[in-house]
Parts: sequence; structure tokens; C-alpha cells
Amino acid sequence: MKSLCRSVIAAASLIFIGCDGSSSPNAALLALATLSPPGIEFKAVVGDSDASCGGDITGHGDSHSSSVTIQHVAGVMPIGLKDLRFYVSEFELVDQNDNIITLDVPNTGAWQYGGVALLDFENGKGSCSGTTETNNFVQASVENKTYKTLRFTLGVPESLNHIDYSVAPSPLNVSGLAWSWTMGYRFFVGEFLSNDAATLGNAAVLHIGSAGCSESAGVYTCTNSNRTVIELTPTEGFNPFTQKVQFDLKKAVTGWDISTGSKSCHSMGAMDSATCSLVYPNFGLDYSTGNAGSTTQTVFGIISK
Amino acid sequence: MNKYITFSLLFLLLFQCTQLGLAKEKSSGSESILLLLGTSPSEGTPYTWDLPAGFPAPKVPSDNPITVEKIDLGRFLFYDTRLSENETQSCGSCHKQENAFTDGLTVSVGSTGQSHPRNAQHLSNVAYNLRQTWANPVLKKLEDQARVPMFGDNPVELGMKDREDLLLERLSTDSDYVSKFKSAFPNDQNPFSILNITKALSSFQRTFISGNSAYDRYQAGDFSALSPSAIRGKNLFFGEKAECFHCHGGFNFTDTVLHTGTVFEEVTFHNNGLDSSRFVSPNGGLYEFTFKEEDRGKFRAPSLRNVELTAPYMHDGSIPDLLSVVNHYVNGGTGDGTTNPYRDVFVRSFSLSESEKQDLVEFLKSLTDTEFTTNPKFQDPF
Repeated sequence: MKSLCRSVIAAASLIFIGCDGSSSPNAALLALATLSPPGIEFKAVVGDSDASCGGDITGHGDSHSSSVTIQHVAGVMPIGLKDLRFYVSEFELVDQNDNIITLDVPNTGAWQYGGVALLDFENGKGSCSGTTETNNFVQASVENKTYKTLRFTLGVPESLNHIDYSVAPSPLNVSGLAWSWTMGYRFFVGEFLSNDAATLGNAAVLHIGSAGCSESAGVYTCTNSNRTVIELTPTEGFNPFTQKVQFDLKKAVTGWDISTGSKSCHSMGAMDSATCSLVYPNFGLDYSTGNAGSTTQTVFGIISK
Repeated sequence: MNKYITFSLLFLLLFQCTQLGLAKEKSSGSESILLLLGTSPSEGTPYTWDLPAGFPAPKVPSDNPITVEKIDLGRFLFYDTRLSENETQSCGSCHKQENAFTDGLTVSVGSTGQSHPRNAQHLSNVAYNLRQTWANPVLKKLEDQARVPMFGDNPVELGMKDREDLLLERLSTDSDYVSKFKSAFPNDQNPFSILNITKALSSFQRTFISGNSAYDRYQAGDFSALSPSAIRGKNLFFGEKAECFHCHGGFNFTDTVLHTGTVFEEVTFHNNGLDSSRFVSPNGGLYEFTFKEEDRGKFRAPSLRNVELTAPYMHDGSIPDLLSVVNHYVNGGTGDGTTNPYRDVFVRSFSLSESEKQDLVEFLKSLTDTEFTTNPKFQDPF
């Protein structure tokens, strides 16, 4: 069913490009002819190390011999990645003349639908729990030039957040990102566990999705949207052809110490406040309201390709 | 197959170009295509309800008409341990027929050994539930609820998150299931899907109708069906002294019910005066969804059908037996729950003699329906 759905959506989205007034047929043909379509590339790290499955991730901590307070991913302990996937949407670029360009993120049949892209850094190997497929790219129409600002939302827009994921087009039909309990999606899933002998198996589980959701006559209302708008304005500007967006899992869980026990935040309303409120500010979010907080996000940045 | 794709394309093309709303997209499956064609082929043999006297017809979602074939498939799926990742548990592992489809445990334990924060609910007359589970205001349909134990990871129950392909492969390589899925979903080119699994499971669960207890026989005119003690208990239950009926009234002994005659859906959750230590994470009750302090500790009043068989009681299984439940309410709650400003107004201390308490327990036991708990139609087919 999934593959059939994918092919249908893929075919339909090709026709879509032709009939949508905002894209000319020539642009569609050009996009089809280009083997590596333009877009925004992402990378995931844990401090100085790549966030990868299938082995220990080390070298992300502070020196063992220092007197630095151990926090974030428990300092020097080796960790094993379990899951790292998130939805991104509502991409905008701001050019040097302050024009805001809303990016067209086309349906691709696999990783993109409805302007939403799934970034997937786990491959199901080792301690990773997801699927073998990975994706670090948001296909979108961008020019080879330097922009002032890149802006996007970490999350699924409300208009798509409560569709039936079991029949939704890919990538909105991935059960690991679906959140049946709230009839919505997890926008962000980041999980790892300690492979250190002294703290073996202690885990960090961070799931972010909208909370406080109610439904009336088929319309959902969520008091805490928990969608963070990531705005990146590097001093040297951002050129999508030469630079990419980096996500740092170490920065995402700064404030958690799994050397003393497992930590988890499931965005379950106010129930997880003790652990969630420590890490939400890393994403620029205030846990109690689900809106932008007083601190700027630190988890995403711009680096050279 | 070609026809399906052609019409899917046509539909999606219309959707994309004219910017139809999401409601349209949600129904872009085979039904919409059939709608476009103006035909509606049979989905199988329509199921005929055999309802006890006084039971209204259950409301079945229009996108999942109940058929004999879906019920049959659902019965196999309900008891199939292949629905758990490590093949150790099925739905039936925590919902045992002899316990009116609960498990007798304080809280349930998932397939990987993780404890659930909640006590497994019984499934008697689950077709009439307006909301599913203890305190989730957004889980309405059994079809939606079925995905929680299969794919949820907080806690892990069946542990199938990210394993849909494995699940579908396990089922689709079994020749018995090939014919059962085909019979249950004759209009689907490939009937093996998560959605169809949830449809079949829900269809089976909707047949769990329990309405032949001693109390029901008494209501039908067999006045010897209840003992004098149970009759005294019945009068207390429905009377102004114990007032149990406010939250546990009607044919299904609960205050929220859905059937074909339901026009206005009233959803209620109650704080029943348990100690506030029962409402800490992850057992906040309705508060989990509303963020309102006054909703902390509010849970759905479950149906009392077969209540004798569903011990221990409350959302966390914290009360071991029926007499203790009666004592909890006679006391107006437990611990600091008795002074909780948000407890339900009908939870207040009142006076009851020990023999009256026993009468109430006898009445509650008269709601036990052994025909339900031994009905071969509900039994494990494996």
C-alpha cells in the first residue's frame, strides 16, 4: 500500500507542477531534468562527532579530567544513537534587499509532502530503531546566491497535524513519527543511550509535538503548539549551494544529565515539565506555553558544505 | 489496479489544482473513487446485531461498515501474537475474555516488560464508548485507539513502531490471512494495510455486547434472578442515598454513551476523590490534555458491566476489591482526595451500614454476564 501510494502521489505531484499557476511547465521540466535538484542540505552532529547509527559516538563531551560540571549528553560517556528524525516546514529565505522568498517544497512521493519534509538521520542499524532509509536534504527551488536569513519551522503545520497517518502520503505515514495518543505527529524525535560501563543503558528520549489538544466536530485545537521557528542569520549570510544547516543533538539536550539516570520528555502536556522545561529553551521554546521563549535556539546553525 | 491508479490520479489532480480542503484529501481512498464512479459494491456480509432488550444500535463509523468477514479477521488479529514485535503478546494478552477483557493486573505489562501507568480497561459494550481509554478526550474511534497499543512507545505495549512492514509481511505471507483479508476487504487491490488491521480489530471489538446478567434477567421480569440483598443494593445504587447512577447510569452503567440515536455528544470526565498522589505523572488524567489544574485526576467513568470480573479498580488499579470501592465512595474519597475542590459533586461522604455496603456489592456482582465471558464467538481461535 505504501509503495502504491508513493507512486500515485509522485505521479500526481508531477502533474501538479504543470497545473499550479505558480510554477511554469518549463520550470517543472527543468526540475525533472536536473539530477541533483537544488535545496537545503542538513547535517546532524553530537558536538564534534557525527550523529550516526551502528556504533559508539564519542568525542562529544568535556574533558574527563576537568572540573566542568557534567551535563548535556553526560559528558564523556560514549553514546549509541537510537533515533533522530524531525519534520521541517514553512521554509523562507530573506534576500539582501529584505525580500522574503517563500520556498516551494514540492511533493516528492517519499520525503516531502504538503510543504513538509522529513529529515531522517537514523538507518535502523546498531541501536537505532527506525528504518534503513535516511534523508538529509530538503528539495526546494533556491538560487545560487547569498541570502541574509534562512527561516523554517521545526514541525508539521496544524493544517496537516491531525490527518490520518495510516493513509497519509509519505512522509506523513511513518509510524515512528506519528503520535496516536494525541491524534497528531511528533515533530522531533531524538533518542540515545549510554554505552558507558558505569551507566549502561541510561537513555535520553526527547519527543516534541503539539500538546493540550482537544477536538470538536473534527476540528482540533492545541493549547501548546510546540512549533519552534528556526531563524538563522549568519553574519556572512547563507548560500544554499555552498552552506548547509547543522543540527547538534548535544546542544538539544543540554541541561540533561543521564549519568545519574534516564531522562525523557514526551511533550505530554504538563506531565513531563521537570525534564522538558530543561531542554525546551535549547529549541527557543517555552515549555509552559509552547511558544517562543526568552532564549534563542542553539540547536541549529549554518556551516560550510 | 489500473482503474484504481487512474482514479486516484484524477482525484489527486483535482485536489491539487483546485486546492480542496483536507477533509477531501482524508477520504481520498477507494471510497471516494467509488463515489466518483457512482457505485458502491458490497464490502462483505453485513453483520446483524443481536442486541439485548433495551440496548440501542451501536453507531458504526461510516468508513468501516461492520461485516461478518471483518469480525472474523478481527478475531484472529486480536489474538495473534505476531502483532507484537517480539511475538510475545497480542491484544488478548491484556484483554482476557474471562475477565471481561481486562487482565486482572494492577497495571498492565507490555511486550518488552515495561509497565503501563494505567489499569487495562474491560471491553464490555465498548462499541458504545464516546471516548476510548481512561482520560483521552481525542481518541474517539476504536480504529484510532487500536494504533496506540500497536505503535505507541510511551509505554511500549506491542512495540510495532517503525515495524509496519514487518507486521504486514508476517500477515501477508500467511495463506489463511491472505483469504481472510481478501474476504474482509474485497474492494481493496491490496487489502494488507495498517488501516485495515485497525478496521478489522474494531469490528471484532464492536461485537463484544454484554447484556445478559442476572440484573438484565431481573429487568426482563425474572424477579428470582436477584437475591434480596442484590435488590436492596440496586435500590441503594439508584437511590438518593448512594447515588451511584449519576456517573454509572443507563443500560451501560456509565454516563457517556454513543449510539445511532445520539444527537448531542456529551463528554464527561470526573475526579472521584482519589488521593492526589494518584494524579502525578503520567497519571494526570484529563489535565494531560487540557493543562487545567481543575482537570487533574479526572477520568472517564467506566461501564460497570461485569465489574465483579475487572478488579483491581480505578485508573491505576489502586483499589483491590468491590467492598473497598464502596468504602472509598462512602468515605467521600481517599486521603486528601476528600478535600479536593475539583472532585465530583456526587463524591461526598455518606452513611451506610456494613450490611448495606454488602448489599451494594451484591448488586454490582449481579452485573456479571457469564454468557459474555464464555461466548465461543469471542474466544481465541488459535
